[in-house]
Amino acid sequence: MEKLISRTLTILIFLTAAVFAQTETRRWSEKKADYKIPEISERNYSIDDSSVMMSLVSGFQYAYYFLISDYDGDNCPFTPTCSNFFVQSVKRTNIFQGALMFADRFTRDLNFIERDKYPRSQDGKLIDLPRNYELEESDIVILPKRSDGEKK
Amino acid sequence: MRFFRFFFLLLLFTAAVRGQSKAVNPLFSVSNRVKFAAHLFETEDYIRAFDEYRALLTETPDDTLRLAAGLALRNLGRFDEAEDYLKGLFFFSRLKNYAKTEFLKTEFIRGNYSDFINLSGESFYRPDTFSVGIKRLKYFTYLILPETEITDSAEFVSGFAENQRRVISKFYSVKKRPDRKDELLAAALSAVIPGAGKIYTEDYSDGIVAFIFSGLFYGLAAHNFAIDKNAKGALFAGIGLFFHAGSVYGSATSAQIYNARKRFEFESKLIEYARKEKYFLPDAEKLFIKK
Repeated sequence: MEKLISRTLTILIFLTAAVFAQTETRRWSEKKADYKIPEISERNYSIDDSSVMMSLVSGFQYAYYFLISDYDGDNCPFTPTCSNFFVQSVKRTNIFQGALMFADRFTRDLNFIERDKYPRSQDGKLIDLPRNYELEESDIVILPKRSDGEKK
Repeated sequence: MRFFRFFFLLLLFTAAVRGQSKAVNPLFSVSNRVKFAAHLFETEDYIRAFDEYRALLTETPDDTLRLAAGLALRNLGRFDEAEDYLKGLFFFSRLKNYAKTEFLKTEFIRGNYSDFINLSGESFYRPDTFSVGIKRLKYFTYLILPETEITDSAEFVSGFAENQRRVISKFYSVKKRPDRKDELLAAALSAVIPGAGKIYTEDYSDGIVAFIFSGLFYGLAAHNFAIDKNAKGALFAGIGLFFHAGSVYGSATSAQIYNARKRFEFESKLIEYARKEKYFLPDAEKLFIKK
């Protein structure tokens, strides 16, 4: 049983890596020169001390940045990213609801088959707002999908 | 001396005949500018059309030009300014009925449905000549507003023109029996089988992933419990439970998102249809665009 699970898991990881991994050719392909000064977005590691719970949540977020995000790179297909989604969810609701929202988002993140249902942002990320998952139907925002002619 | 006189007269004559004059240049005549503004409006260049109408209005105050300027602003989404232009025609204007109707139409277009219904009930905003069209648009607004109930379907549909009734009946049926998913049922289904609720809400791939992911951890937990590795078993069971709970919660939100999306699609179709039917009202654009 354990062998079967570990084999399935290995195949799944291998498959995900094979489909979504950055390729050398893509990385080194020709690019147009852009002389604009890039925006520097450094992570802010200060602890949110608005409440004990938020301190714990921001601690969890920085641990996630340090252990996973920094090595993974900018590969989360969603905006906001999963860790930001979790923090925003807890801020907007409470720790229990926020944790459930995160568990659901994390599972949806693993679904690499059907991603066309999310609208895309200007930089090609899938827009998935926490406000749509707060069990308030009237607050749900349905964003129109970008048409094929628009720049991705 | 004669030669100089002759030369001087020739110069004067040429200047008088060929000289440029704003007054006689037909390119900038009022009628030409009106035509040009109408052309810009027709080609949907509303910014420049409005600039032309505004420039014309400073020189030639005219009700039709004022109406055209208001409609150009409306098409640009500058609703408050558009309504100000239209309000200027409410009294003592030969186009006051058009102005009031276009004002109501603007309220509808900008999504102020409750205001539109309230104003259309007032006789001031409901000129007799356009009352049928206004009534149709009011009925149509009932389809858009989620909280309104339409009891008598026959009376509702018969309020529209013969060629519109088939489509209106379809919209009425959707309004009466909307395609909705029950969030509690979705959550209950996922509580029994992880991801089943998402399959119910037609998020098939999310449902399958949720089932595999939770099942994987439950499987690991069961195996570890079976070989007496209880601590590992409890850890995997906890992780499995966490994602299972997320799947239950996610199924409820998925049902809500499904319902909201269906509502959004329905509203978009309604607005598209209203636009196609010119909001059931006479087309005031015909007053300044000869189509």
